[in-house]
Amino acid sequence: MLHEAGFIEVELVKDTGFNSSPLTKGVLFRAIKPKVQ
Amino acid sequence: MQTILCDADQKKVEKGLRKKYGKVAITPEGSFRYPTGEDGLKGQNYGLEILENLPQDVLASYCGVGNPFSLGAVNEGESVLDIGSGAGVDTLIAGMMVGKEGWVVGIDITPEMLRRADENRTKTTFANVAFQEASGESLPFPEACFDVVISNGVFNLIPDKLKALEETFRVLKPSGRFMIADQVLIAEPSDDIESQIDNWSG
Repeated sequence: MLHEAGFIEVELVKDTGFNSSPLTKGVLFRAIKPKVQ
Repeated sequence: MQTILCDADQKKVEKGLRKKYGKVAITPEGSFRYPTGEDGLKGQNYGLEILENLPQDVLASYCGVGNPFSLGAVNEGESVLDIGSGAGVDTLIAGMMVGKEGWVVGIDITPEMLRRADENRTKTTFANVAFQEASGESLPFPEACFDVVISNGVFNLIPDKLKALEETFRVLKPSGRFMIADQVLIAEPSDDIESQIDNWSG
């Protein structure tokens, strides 16, 4: 979905260990807006 | 996960979230399955310099699910948007990082959270930080005005995630960085909207 919005260099970096429910887990993402679109 | 809700269910979700986060604004303690307050900040390795430069009252209001600042530097003089700023802990930390030449805005949809964030700001010296009521799905900012957008545990709560991501993209400058901590589904949720609210908001 981040790619669909236009972002590049989308990266799921790691789990955070803080999970809000048994069905979810905490994660860290980063992404960049391209210099030229 | 992109969740398509009818208007009635969307209002129900928003009402549920406002109710939950109205309580969290007073104290997050006991409202989440993970550590909050100073324990949460320490658990996410926010760093001693940050912990020592914010009042205990401010630290106590932290309820993030990760540390977006661990994803990259926020530099002096930069502009930062915090989507779903809650009690404003990450927003104030960004204010510390960008210094007097930078500026930071936190947005949230919950009036109680915005009041708590403003209270927290008055306990610091960060004049470069502001909070305002707004939704991630409709950001009240012009195109390309932020160097960095951060968010912590909020996008999972937004029904129209693609719209919110497109808005994030719009307000970032070219080469701007999006640094996000959030919850992702690891199993299919129940169809029941109340269960979804519980799962989304922890």
